[in-house]
Amino acid sequence: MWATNSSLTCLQMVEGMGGIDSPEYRQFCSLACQAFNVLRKSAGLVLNLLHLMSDAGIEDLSNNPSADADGVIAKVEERFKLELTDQQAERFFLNLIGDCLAAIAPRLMDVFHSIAVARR
Amino acid sequence: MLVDLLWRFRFSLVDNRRALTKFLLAVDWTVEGEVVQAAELLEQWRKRSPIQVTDALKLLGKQVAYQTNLVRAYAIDTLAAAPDEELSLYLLQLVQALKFENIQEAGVNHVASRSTKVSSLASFLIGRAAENIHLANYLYWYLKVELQDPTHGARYREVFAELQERLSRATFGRRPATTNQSLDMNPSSLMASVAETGADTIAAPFKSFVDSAKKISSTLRGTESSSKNVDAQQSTKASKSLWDILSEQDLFLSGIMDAQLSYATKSRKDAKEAHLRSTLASEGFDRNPSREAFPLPCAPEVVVNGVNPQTAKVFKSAVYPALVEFHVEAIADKTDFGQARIGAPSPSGSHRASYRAMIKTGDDLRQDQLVIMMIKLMDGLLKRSSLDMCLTPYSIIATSPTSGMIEFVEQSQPVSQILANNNNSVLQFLKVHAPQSGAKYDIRPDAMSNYIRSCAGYCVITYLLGVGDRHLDNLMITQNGNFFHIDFGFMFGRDPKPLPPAFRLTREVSFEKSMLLACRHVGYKFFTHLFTDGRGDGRY
Repeated sequence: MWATNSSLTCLQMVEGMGGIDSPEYRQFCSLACQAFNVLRKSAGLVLNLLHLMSDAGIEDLSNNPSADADGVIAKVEERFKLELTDQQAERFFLNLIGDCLAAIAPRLMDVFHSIAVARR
Repeated sequence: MLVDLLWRFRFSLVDNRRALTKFLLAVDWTVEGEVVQAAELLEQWRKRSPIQVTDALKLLGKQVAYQTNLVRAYAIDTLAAAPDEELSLYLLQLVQALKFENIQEAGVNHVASRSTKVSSLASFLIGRAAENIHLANYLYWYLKVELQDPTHGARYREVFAELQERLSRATFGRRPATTNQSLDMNPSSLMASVAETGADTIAAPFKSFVDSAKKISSTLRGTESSSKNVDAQQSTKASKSLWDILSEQDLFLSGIMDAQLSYATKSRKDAKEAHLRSTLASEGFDRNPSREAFPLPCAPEVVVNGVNPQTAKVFKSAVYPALVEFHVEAIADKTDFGQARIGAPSPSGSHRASYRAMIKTGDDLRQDQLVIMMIKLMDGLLKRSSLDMCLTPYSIIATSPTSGMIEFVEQSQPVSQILANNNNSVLQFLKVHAPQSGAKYDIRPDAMSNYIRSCAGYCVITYLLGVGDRHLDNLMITQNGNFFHIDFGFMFGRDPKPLPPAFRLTREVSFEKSMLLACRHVGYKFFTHLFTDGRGDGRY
């Protein structure tokens, strides 16, 4: 599992849906889970396409400090959670969104970033 | 041994299309007897359980077992059935697959038949490009990026030369057979549809086609000439070849990039901008009726003629990208992928007078391009399951390993700016830009729906692809509520953030106030609850 969840979403985005208690936020969660399950069914296509890119000079695919291209794509495969049933996958993704909202580090970095930009 | 087992049960496997790729890995391609048998089995496989595109793409991969002409021909057969639009989603990868072809085998082919200079995959791609300007455009640029590749450059130069050869004989926007047919059937109704849409908005290439069509139809009516004469008429009225159009497009773009490079010496942003504007104006980059319009490299459905020198801008960032406004002549219908016919100016209200694109030199856009292609692919997969996530896979093309162009998504702002101008609230922003009194939150329901769907869509996709370096400056929202990500410089789990193993209390406290400000609309209580939770958690 890759460490960062920061790409998922952030509190400000949830605020735009009316907060975590709103029906809009629940709709967001439900849509995300549906999308996750749809994409899981085409994981093979996505992974095969990525494999064909392994010599394409894609920086983070071919020069990733964590692994070679095959290793990086194996990690993408892990993210699809192909071993789970649709129901399990849904629960997994809901937890992921929850964890992400609880993570404070990404928002801290936003503050750092805006200060850095302001000083530029 | 698994391999032996697969080989032993090969005859019972032909009913299972999923077993094919595994089986091919089990074949010993150096043993002639096995190869002959494998060929027979492939033939049975094809008849009884045809493989799908997913498997075909796998068969074009790196594994040695797939590097035989036999297997690749089978894969190409499968891909040939895919329509142009679907093929365009895999084209980036198919161009890469040319690297995995067995050179020696290709060499044998050279001797055997001198007529085919390139591999069957290459000639398949070139053949499809010759019939569709969108595919031709993408193939041109995907190949061009590889021309200087130290290991595979020579091979790509051969394919590129073959593409030039073939496209020089192909003309824009028509397949000779089908267009002749439609003209034969009803030339006058085609003319009528052109008249309705207004001939002055039609791009020059379309115009020249209209002209030649008019000639043909008059010939048909007047002299009832044979079809041979029609063909002769068509070839004498020399419209530009696909290759000519792509070369002009290339020349125009590299001209702008040269202007961009020449401002590197100017130190200040304003000076760079002034230099760019005057260069664009003085060197004839503005709209010119005598110039033939050309499709944009990043979005070939948009046919443009020149730029507006006065609105050109330069961004203040590491490579100082330029924002250039193109004059749009026509936008081909999305449903009419690459089959630009007469009457191409979009009948729906999507016609735009201009199209802004960012032009970058000194930056590798290939990773961004891959990510956008994956988003486009996933968008299609989701829509096929009737899930429209309102994604924004903006157009992008790498024109070399160090340059390219990117669509500028109009009426969008970074979230950082939105929060700064709207009292730290996205909800407030939507209220201002998509108001509807009486609706929930006083926001137009469609804008709210766009927002929720796009947030959910990007949430899943960025998770799957491990998009890193996310901050409020590379998250965008349009005035219609479409949320999207830009700048994919950190992917597949890579991230520049100095995430410390433990929560460093001392530094954070000094930022506590600004954090509270940033999050106060979610609720102070919720935030402080998280904050204390987070402090105890070793992950941060």
